[in-house]
Amino acid sequence: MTLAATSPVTPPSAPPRLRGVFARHPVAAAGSIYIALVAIGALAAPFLPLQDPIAMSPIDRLKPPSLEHFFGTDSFGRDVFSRAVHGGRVSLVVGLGVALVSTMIGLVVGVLSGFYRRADAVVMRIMDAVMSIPSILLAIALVTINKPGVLTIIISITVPEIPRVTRVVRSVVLTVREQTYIEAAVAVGTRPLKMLARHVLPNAVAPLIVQATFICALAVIIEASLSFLGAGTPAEIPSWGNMMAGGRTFIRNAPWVLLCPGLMLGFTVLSINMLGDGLRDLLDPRMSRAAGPV
Amino acid sequence: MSALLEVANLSTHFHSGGHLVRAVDGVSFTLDAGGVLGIVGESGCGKSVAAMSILRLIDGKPGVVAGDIQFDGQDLRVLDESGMRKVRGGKIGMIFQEPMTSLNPVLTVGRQITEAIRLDGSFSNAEARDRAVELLRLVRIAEAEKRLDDYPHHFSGGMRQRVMIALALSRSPKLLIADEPTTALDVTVQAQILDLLLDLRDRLGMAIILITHDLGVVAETCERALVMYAGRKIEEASVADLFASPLHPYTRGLMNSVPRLGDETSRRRRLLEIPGVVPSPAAMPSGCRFAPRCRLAEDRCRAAYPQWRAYGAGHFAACWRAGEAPHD
Amino acid sequence: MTEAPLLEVENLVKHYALSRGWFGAPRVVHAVDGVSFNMERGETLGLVGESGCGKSTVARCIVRLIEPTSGSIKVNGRDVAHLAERDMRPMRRDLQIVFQDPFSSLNPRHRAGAIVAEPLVNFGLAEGAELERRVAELFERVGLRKDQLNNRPHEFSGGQRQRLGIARALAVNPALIVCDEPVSALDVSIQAQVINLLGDLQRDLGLAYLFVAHDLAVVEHISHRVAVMYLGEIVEIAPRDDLFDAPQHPYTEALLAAVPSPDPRNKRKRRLIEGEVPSPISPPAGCRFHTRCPIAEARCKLEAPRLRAIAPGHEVACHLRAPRISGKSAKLNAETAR
Ligand SMILES: Nc1ncnc2c1ncn2[C@@H]1O[C@H](COP(=O)(O)OP(=O)(O)OP(=O)(O)O)[C@@H](O)[C@H]1O
Ligand SMILES: Nc1ncnc2c1ncn2[C@@H]1O[C@H](COP(=O)(O)OP(=O)(O)OP(=O)(O)O)[C@@H](O)[C@H]1O
Ligand code: SF4
Ligand SMILES: [Mg+2]
Ligand SMILES: [Mg+2]
Repeated sequence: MTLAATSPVTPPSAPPRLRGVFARHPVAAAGSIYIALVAIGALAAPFLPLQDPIAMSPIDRLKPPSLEHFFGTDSFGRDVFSRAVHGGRVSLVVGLGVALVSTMIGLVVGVLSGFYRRADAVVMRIMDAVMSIPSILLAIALVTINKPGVLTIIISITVPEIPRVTRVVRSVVLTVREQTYIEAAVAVGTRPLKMLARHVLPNAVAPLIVQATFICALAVIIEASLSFLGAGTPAEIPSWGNMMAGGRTFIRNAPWVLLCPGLMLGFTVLSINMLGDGLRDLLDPRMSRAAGPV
Repeated sequence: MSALLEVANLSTHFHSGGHLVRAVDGVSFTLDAGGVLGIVGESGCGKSVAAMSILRLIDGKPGVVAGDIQFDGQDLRVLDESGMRKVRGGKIGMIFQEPMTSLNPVLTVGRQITEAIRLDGSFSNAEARDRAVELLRLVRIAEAEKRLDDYPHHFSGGMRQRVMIALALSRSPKLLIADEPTTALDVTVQAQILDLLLDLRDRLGMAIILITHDLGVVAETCERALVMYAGRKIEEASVADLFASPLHPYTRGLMNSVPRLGDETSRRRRLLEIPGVVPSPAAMPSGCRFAPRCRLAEDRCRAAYPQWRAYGAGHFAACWRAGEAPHD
Repeated sequence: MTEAPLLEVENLVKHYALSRGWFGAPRVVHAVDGVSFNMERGETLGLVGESGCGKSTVARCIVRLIEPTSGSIKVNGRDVAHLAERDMRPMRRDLQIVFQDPFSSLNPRHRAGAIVAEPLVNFGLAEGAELERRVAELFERVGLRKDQLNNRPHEFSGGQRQRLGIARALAVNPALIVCDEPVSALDVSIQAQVINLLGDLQRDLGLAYLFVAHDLAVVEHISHRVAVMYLGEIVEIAPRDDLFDAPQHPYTEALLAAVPSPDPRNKRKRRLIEGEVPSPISPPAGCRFHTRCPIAEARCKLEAPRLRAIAPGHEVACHLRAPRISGKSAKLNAETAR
């Protein structure tokens, strides 16, 4: 009831933002740690003391997990753990690649359609059409008409994701466009590119990053699905998808062949999404404000 | 009968730029059902923050620092968030100071009003639409039914402000907090809107807190008024007393700085200003906060904060030399 | 050869097309319908009128935030009405605007100092330490503290934000500032400071202001001439003293009568104009004010009155107050009308 009783006036201290968010968001912290491990493993795989992921050794066929083979071996006697770590490379490249390329393209298209009414009608109809096709089907179609390879996969997964980004960017642009501060910037002679960079796009950063993490996770899943279906990463490159495809027939007597890459896939996707949540909180403008009531 | 709203010792502080900003510092007032209270004061003196604090709308960490807010038998300081949501927009309508940022730019005006109306749960969609048209008519939007499907940016500044008023009135609140509700309106529409509010007061017993810097509006609509300066209440009186004999030098300064219509001598002359600016939160005077700008300031003013004292029935002020200067 | 006036607006028209809904006919808002006026250097023209009558639209057309439907806007003799943004940009150094809403006109992500610096940077007027100095100077000029340079807009009160907007407009030393209700959001003591500031700047720098406001006392105080708009048209334009001492158009009269008086003893003496506000989507035929005019006659419903001079510089659009007669007797007629 009294002033003193309820106002523990703490001195203002600006905690480092990242640490603050992670402290408030242990989930995001856990996610990023897991992703970091997978990424480091994938990047450094050739230099790590791992067994050869490709060399076959029919004698060691379908060995259960042991000290020698943490995750056991597959039907060709290859070490599943080593292959899973190497497989992270494909997922990493595809996930980041798709997130990056689709964000870039979606950004440009979204800005255009948000600013130009004429372009808008056409672009959004195309985007609707693209979105109406399940992305995995579209990706399969695109993969099959192109040369197999990681680049093809990235492009094939990117195309169906572009509309998502476009929509996010467009809605931001549409909202921001009506703000008087945009008019104010025009009135003081701000050029279009600077206008975009300083006044419009900063509003898109937070939703874009959230979208990008989501797309990254989705891309990892789609890549695995394509590979699982045999339409993705060529069989000679280890990836979680082809590993799971290879383990499918032995699910009864050697479940580890399928389960280990499957779990890694699951945890990775989950972690990316957890990180996305954390980033959203970090980037929320309300949190970046210097002040709040005591 | 107990008061509808009782605010005691309300304080809201912010941390900003390394300082403690005492935006509202121990403000108290009461308001009966059907009462009209005006709050005036310098820009930045904490009027809006006080209003937002009552509704617990201060963003950042929720909640006000301290004070007691009793509304209609409820303690708004401890009410849970879902109860608070019912109060906001339900029993208490709020007209925000920023007409554009308080309307959603990507939803049509009609949709925003009908949604607010339907929060009650007792209206069908069609009924809500009819009521929305009626509300827009009440606030004098021409051809209301035709403009329901327009977006806020299709409206002029004053029309948006009237849409805000319609929103605030949509659920027949018991208390209306109007933060500068008519700044964007021309005088004819302003007069009509103020009449509308007073009419709702008469018919439904709606109480009104009117935050404004337009002394003419206060004079015409309010019964009591309080004057704030740098987060504190410095004078409170019935409107008649306040205008007839303002006690605080700041209140007098306010009244003298308004140009008057038809005053030929003032045309294109300098207006009387209150010199200086509001003290910075970092260097808040320890005595009277107005002292650095006050023509009457003397040593005791700078030494200690003047007491809140009564000068005649219902007329209070916090000034060591209240009423001393000739009324110029 | 005489110098061209600073601003010549001729027959300015702005129509907004609204979405037609699913079945309805297309709707056009006649926001501004044939507005003409001139402004000289160093002059203040007050622009008043009912909410929604098109004042902001005129203001935005002049600084070319929107393109007028038709008409011409000459700045220093050059028509900017339909210039492409690229050609318009250099003209913007002469034409600035202060907005009505101090909340949405400042980018919430930017710091106050950066907001005021933006025009200086855009036009390459200052950089580095010089830029900082200029910004600090502008802050001081509009009564903000230097320690607020790094604050963001949400840390300012409404009035403080409006001062930021004024500082931003002042930064490029314009010849004309269009002020769209610059003091509506300010409390009276700051309002007095800002009005005095605008006056000082006008005296020192020869600025001209197109001053849109609702507070007639402020308009009376600050303007040299005043134009009154009603539903997209100018109904009266006159030197300040003429307009306030002897308003001619019935709408101007109604407007002046509605001003709230800062004296509680005068309460409720106001006369209000009656009637529904007509809509700019389907403005009334004839005189647009006839639906609410206390002195309207049959002719008013049929024929739209044109602006006619009744005294030097005093023009009125009203069949009764400025009847159609030969130029010489117009002045005489004005005398009797008073
Ligand atoms: N979120 C915030 N963080 C820091 N300071 C704030 C915040 N919100 C408001 N303030 C400060 O609190 C003080 C009171 O602000 P408030 O908006 O209540 O003023 P006001 O009386 O409504 O003024 P105006 O008439 O200009 O609207 C100001 O000095 C302002 O700078
Ligand atoms: N972008 C737009 N699209 C459609 N209609 C618009 C648009 N902008 C303004 N209008 C309409 O044009 C008319 C004039 O608006 P304007 O903003 O010029 O009025 P104003 O005189 O400035 O009013 P106020 O005093 O309320 O600010 C209004 O009826 C408004 O609804
Ligand atoms: S207390 Fe003193 S300083 Fe404060 S307003 Fe009164 S006379 Fe001025
Ligand atoms: Mg306020
Ligand atoms: Mg306007």
